[in-house]
Amino acid sequence: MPEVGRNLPRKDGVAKISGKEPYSHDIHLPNMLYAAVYRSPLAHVRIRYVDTSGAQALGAICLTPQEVPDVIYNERIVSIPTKTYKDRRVLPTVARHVGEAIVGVAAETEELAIRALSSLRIDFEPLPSVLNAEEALKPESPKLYDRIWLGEKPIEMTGNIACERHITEGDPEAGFREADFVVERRYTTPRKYHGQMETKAAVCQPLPNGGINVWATVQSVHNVRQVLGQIYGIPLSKVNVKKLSIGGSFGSSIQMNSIIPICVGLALKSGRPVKLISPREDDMYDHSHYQTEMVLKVGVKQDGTFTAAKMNVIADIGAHHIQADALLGVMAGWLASLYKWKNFQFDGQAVYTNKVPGCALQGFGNPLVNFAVEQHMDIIAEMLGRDPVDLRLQNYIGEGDVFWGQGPSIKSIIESCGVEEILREGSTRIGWNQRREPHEKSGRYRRGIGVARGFHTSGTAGPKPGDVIDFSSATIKVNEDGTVDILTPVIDHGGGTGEAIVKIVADTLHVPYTMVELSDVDARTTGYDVATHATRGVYCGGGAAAHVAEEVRTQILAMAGRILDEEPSGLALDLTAERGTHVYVQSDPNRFVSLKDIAKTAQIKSWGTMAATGSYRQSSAPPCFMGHFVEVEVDTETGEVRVVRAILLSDAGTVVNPDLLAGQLIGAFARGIGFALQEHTQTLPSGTLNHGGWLTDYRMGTSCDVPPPDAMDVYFAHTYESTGPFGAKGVAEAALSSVWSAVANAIYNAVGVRVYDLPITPEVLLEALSAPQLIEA
Amino acid sequence: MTSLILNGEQWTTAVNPTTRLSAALRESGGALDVKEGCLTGHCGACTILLDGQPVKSCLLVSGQAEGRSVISLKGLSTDPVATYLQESFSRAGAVQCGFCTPGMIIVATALVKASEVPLSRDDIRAGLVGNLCRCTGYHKIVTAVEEASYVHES
Amino acid sequence: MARYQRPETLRQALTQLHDNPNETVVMAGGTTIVPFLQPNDDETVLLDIGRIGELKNLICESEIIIGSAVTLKEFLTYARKQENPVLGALYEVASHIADPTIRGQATVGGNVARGGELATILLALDAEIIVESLDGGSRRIHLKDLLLDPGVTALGHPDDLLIAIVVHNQKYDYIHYDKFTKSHLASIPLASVAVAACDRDIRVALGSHRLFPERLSLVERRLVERDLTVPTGWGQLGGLVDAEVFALTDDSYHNHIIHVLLERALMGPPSEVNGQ
Repeated sequence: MPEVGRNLPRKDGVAKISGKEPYSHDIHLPNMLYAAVYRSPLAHVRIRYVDTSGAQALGAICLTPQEVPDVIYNERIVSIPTKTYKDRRVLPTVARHVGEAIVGVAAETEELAIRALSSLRIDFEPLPSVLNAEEALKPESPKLYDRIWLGEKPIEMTGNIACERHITEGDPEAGFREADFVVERRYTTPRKYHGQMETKAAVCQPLPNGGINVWATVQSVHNVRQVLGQIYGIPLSKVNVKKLSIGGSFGSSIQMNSIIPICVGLALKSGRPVKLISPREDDMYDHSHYQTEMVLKVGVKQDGTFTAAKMNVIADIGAHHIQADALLGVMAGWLASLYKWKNFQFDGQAVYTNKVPGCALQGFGNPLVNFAVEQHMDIIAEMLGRDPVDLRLQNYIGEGDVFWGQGPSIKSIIESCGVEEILREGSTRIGWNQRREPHEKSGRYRRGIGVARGFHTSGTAGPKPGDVIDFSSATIKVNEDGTVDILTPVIDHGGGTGEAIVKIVADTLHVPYTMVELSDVDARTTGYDVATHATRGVYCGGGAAAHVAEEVRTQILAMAGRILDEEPSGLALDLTAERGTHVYVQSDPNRFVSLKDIAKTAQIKSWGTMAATGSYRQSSAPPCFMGHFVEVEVDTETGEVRVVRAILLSDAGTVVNPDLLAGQLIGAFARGIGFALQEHTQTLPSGTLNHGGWLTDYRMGTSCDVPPPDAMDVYFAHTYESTGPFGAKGVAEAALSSVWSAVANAIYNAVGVRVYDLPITPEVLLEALSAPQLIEA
Repeated sequence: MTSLILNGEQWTTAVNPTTRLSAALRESGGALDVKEGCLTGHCGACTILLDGQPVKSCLLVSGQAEGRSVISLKGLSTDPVATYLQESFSRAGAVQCGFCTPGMIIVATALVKASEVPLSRDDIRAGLVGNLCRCTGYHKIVTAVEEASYVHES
Repeated sequence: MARYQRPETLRQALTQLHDNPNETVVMAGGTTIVPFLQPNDDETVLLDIGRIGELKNLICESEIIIGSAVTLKEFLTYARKQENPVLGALYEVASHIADPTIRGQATVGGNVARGGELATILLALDAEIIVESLDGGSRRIHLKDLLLDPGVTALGHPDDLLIAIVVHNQKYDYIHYDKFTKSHLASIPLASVAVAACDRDIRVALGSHRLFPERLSLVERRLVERDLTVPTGWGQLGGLVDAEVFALTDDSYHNHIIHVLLERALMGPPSEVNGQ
């Protein structure tokens, strides 16, 4: 029985349930200093002078903008260098948002470090600021940068446009002329906070040879290692970043976190280990999700076929450029890959503002585009008198079609597709046929059913190299007792990527799950992996592990051949209850040798260790499809929306960890309804956040806010992705992609009011309910 | 100077009595199973048992715990309810990133023990409302506690 | 760092307050004080009254007396065992404040002194508080005379300590409490409304996340003038309620929610007595 597909205990489960699993917060080194960060109180300010004498008098070590290397970098290495925009230093001479780190201090205790912060005297020159994209685009608006860099090329800034992308396929204008109807709407999504439970932290240990060891909150040990090496001019062989469990991420550590190089700078300056944990408030001022405005225009014929789609996007990226170019590329890709538009145009601008920098959040630009497209589908369906599910089935991009969700340079042909199964099964389970129109409902509480579908890519690889780096690595070795070590750089955010990789290796080598373990590793002991992002852990990381395991399998057969005196081609590897993992002679199955004996023999006879290291790039980036059918109840008296039922349907190919997959679907759904109905980080005119970094006011969902367990139903489509390990694709980000769209569509079905701006708070919905409704389309 | 009973053993720390208890436990008491997620009492990752009552240790100063019993998750290693909960959490898939888990199990242990009848799912949801989890959507945590509660009462 | 004192007796606490009224911050549970402590604050003395036995009273006779250092959890455990409608109403309110771990630490006195949810229902129950100081001795103050503005109370002496809350153990025809909270994490409601009525004695109190709880005296008077027994019809109250309520906040949604809560409070089923 294969291990892939079984529910098995997590490899880190015992450590996590007993509180023994170390996170970056828990790293404690002898003689360690504690750091804290002084952050800008103003949205835009030049730092003229930092007087650290008061802090030094308290015994604190200070790191000022004058003391950090004058290196401009991008904290996220994922695009190829010539496509990577760079605009930031470890500590800036001009702070561009409230909460931007200006000075780091380190002292003997946390209390002393905070005391030292209040002893700093900083001479500021306030600069005019701009807090929204529309304003920032005006020629007379204050400019955040004079110069940024694209790779090694300087870009002299004339305004606040960080980057633009314009992508056209076919002839959109002709397409719109062909249409019977053209539907255009404006949708907005707000800034929001990841809310990972562990705030960002770093511990840095300076080494006698000039190198550093770093334990930090990261999604990729290798990218952090490279950026640190680049900033501090240390050869990579002397920079080590340890792989640790991460207390949730959701994209918030996709880049090297801004506190890591500050911690490193303090450690190098003091010559002592330094620990820097972000308080929650600092964390909320460190990262945010992009705010977007999308205008979507779609041409459709009476028969429901599309003739053209055009989307204009303005993304408010905040004060730093963390892969906004890639954001616009994937937004174009998600749009292009959802439905057969025939002709297509995307125009996107990423705009700097004096706000917290935007970075990826589960799905990157995907749920944003989904919010526009999936509401548009319902609007069009209603206009044409069509069933929303049927209209989707008529037009979706599926098997045999080109998919380029991760941007125009990452194209692959869809090989496995569960869209139809998802839509049909979801319809049955929610009782789609019994769905009534909004005008048939009355009373204070009104219920409605909505659907939305989405997807995400599995990784960013493909047959040809694109603008985005994507490959993974693994080292696998068979120990002398027949157990197996896996050294993988892939970080498990908690969704079970580690277990999946173990199962994939176990099944490739026919070794029981219990005999395969994940080694403690770091950037030094592993080959490169770009990051656990883009839903690539299982498909790309697991793919690389499968690839390397095949090499180990070849070595096992060769060693067994020497023992059995047979050609390896006549041997086979198998696992049975009686023999355990063994190699047998295919022509005479009674002749066999166990893996344990092979390994022991190889050691005793000095043949060597059966082990392999390798890297692998997947040949595709297959979409993992998702569908959400949601029933909501709207309280028309207060505007409150309650999700009463939800069917969550995924197409992840072969399901590697069924329970953990269900857990990811439900977890993403819980976050999704938070994003749909309440979560929003607003920036006040002063540039500060309205909740001041307090979780209360940010209002993340509690056990009582999410729908009860009985209200949720999970379904996995039956597909097999032959390019993936044992038929598996990804799922992680897909799970969030269409949640809020389905909620918005369900609200419309309940009360006949469509809300185009997220989040749909009680205030917003009540106002919409009391406003005269324009007839749709 | 503060003296208290930490996980059953007398413990004296030199930290200031107005230092928050969670910091004292982590930094001086080596109780790294007490997680700090917000320092404002909203996330519940730092939940401990203070004289048997679950409280958020970031909302207490160390002096408040003087002479009292403080139990973190590792102090419950022989507690049958906590042990069963750990197993049911593991079995149910209630652990993803794991950062909220110690606080969740502390609260759940007190919740299960406080009830004379098996807890309903609504009781459990209300009982866990002070402990945030961003990964799981709570569903599997609630079912894990439900299972433990049922076993405890029967 | 702030200094810390934990007196064993009321007298020790009163003495500290008397000697250092300006530097002393009184705390019992500490849930609303500890997160705000600053390492560079060397002036403050935290006076922890959480273990003073004299502040832990729980009595239910002709008067209900709740010691200020009684935790919400201790109060709930006590109130649950009593077959008393007034305690039952208070139980309902207290059992939905914040979350179980906070209720295990936060105190009744802390909640009332900060104008929390208990203050709203206690206003409707026309509760009194007992305060004491070294010089002024022990005195009773009507809760409605105590709560002025957020953070400002009418305690006569800077060294007054809140000792207990006293509620008349009387019969009510109607006790109602309702709140609107944007999410469960936000433990402080956007608005809350409490109504207690016995014959023509009708008290309506409004709590809110921005404002201190207060009695809606115009609404009360209107109900009495029109000889309306609660619960009655919102429509019959007319514009006077609007005038009073609209003056409270300029946030239209907030106003709307206050209206909704008042409407529910004053139109509830006649026999409703919220309690256990």
